Amino acid sequence: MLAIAIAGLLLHTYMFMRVGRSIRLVGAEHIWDVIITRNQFLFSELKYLPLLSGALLGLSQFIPEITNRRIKLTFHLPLREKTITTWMVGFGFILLTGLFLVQFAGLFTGMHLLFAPEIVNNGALTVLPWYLAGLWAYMACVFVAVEPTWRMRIPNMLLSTGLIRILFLSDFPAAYAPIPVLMFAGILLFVLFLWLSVFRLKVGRQ
Amino acid sequence: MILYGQTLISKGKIKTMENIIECRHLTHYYGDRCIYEDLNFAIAKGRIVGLLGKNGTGKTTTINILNGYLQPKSGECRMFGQKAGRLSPSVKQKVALLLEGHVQYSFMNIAQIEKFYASFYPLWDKVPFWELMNKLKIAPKQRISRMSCGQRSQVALGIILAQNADLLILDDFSMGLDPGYRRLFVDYLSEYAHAEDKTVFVTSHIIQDMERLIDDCMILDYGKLLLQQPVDRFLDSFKRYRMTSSLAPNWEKMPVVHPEKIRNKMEFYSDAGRQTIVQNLEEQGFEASDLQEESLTLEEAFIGLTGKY
Repeated sequence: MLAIAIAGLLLHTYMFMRVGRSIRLVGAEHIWDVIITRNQFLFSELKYLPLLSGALLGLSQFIPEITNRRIKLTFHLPLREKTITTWMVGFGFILLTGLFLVQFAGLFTGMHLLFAPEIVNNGALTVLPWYLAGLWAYMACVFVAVEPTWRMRIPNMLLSTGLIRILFLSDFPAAYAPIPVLMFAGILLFVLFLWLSVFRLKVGRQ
Repeated sequence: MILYGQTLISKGKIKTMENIIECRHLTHYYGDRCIYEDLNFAIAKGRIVGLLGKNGTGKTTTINILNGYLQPKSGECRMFGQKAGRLSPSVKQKVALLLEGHVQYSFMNIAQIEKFYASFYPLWDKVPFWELMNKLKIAPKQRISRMSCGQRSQVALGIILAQNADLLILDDFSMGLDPGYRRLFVDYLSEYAHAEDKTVFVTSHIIQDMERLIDDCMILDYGKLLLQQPVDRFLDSFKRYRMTSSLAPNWEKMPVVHPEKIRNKMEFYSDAGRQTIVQNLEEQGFEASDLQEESLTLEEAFIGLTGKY
C-alpha cells in the first residue's frame, strides 16, 4: 500500500511539474486554449494509476490468503463468512478510497491554482471513471482470487476485464459525466459477484 | 462403526457415546480417480481418533470435506449436528483447527497472534499458549514467518489449546517436524485432551506418533475405509504369523491379509486368532507346529493391514 501511495505521489508531482513547466514555456493562454478548444486533458498520465493501484492492492491482499491457504483459517474464525469477507474487503476498499480521495484532492487543489473552475470541474469528471475503475479493479481481483476453481476464475477474469474496459472506452474529457450513477452501481455489481465467489468457496466447490 | 447413542467399552470404562462428527455415504472423486465411495464414520465425544492412511488415500480430503472446504460428490458430514460448509459461528467456536503444514498468519508475531485469536474466542485461555511459547524461548516480537517449522508447529498447537474448543481437528500435524518436536506435540496434546475430556480428530502418516495419542483408529485405504476400532481392540486381535514351509497354502481359503513367502519363510497377518489359523492350515494339510504369533505395534499393524506398497 505504501508503494502504491508513493507511486501516486511521484506521478502527481511529475504531472504538476510538467504542466507548470509548460505554462512557463508557452504561457497559460496557450495551455488554456489547448484544454478548451482542443479538448485535451493535461493529466492523462493518471489514467491507469488507480486501475493498477486497485489491482495491486487486491492481489497483494488476497493472493497470499489463497496461495498460503490462510483463507481456510480465516473462514474458520467464528464469524459468518460474509462478515469476514466484508471486513477484509471493507478494509482494503476504505484504504483505497482514502488514497484515491487524497490523490483526487491533491489534483483538484493543484488544478484549482492553475485553471478556471469550469476546467477543474471538467477535469474532476474526467478522472472520476479512472478512480472508479481502480475500485472496480480491486473488487474484481478479490472476485477472481476468492473463486475456488480455475474453471470459473478464467471467465470471471474475462468478465471483469470486459466490465472495467467500459470505463476506458472514451478518452474525451468528461465523457462519462452523464452516467455517474451507473459507474457507482458497478461497485455493487462487483459486490454481488464477490458474494458468489465467497459462497462457492464456502460450500467447497472444486 | 460407532453409531449414535452406542455404548462403547474401552479400557474398562463404559461410556454412552454422543457423536460430535458424523459422515454418511461420502463419495468423492478427483476427476476419474475415486478417493472413496460410500464412506461412513462417526466420532464420539471425548475420543481421540486417528485417521490413518498412506499418502493419497484421502485423509486431507476428509478434513477438507468436514470443514466445508470441499464439496463431496455425494454424502454429507455434520459437526455438532450442523452440516459441513454451513457451520454457525457458535459451532466454529467449538472447533479448533490445525491445517496441514501448520498454516498460520505468519506475518504476525506470537504476541499479536495471541491477541488476535483471543478476541474471537470467549473461552480463550492464554496459559497453555504462553507455557508452550516459553518452552520455545522465542522473543514475543519474532515473526512467525521467521521461525523454524518445529517452532511454528508449537505456535499452532498453542493456539488450538488456548481456544479451549470441544473438538480439535489436526491435519497431518507431524509434517515437517523432527522427532523431538513430534514427541513434544503428541505428549502435550494427549495430556491436554485426556485432562479436559476433549474430542480430537487427527490425521497423520507417521503412525508411531499416533500410538501414544489415539484411542480409536480409522484406517483408510485407496477407495475405502478398512477399519474403525479402538486401538487396543485392534492390536489385541490383529497379529502377525510366521511359519516355515516349502509350499504355500491356498491363501484365498484363509482369513489372512498380505501373505508373503520368501524361500521357505511365510509371513501373514490376520485378526482371526491363532486357533482359526491353525485349523485352516491343518485343513489344507499343513503342519502348524512352528506357527509363531506376534503382537504388533500400531505401525506394524497398519503396514500389515494396508500392505507395504
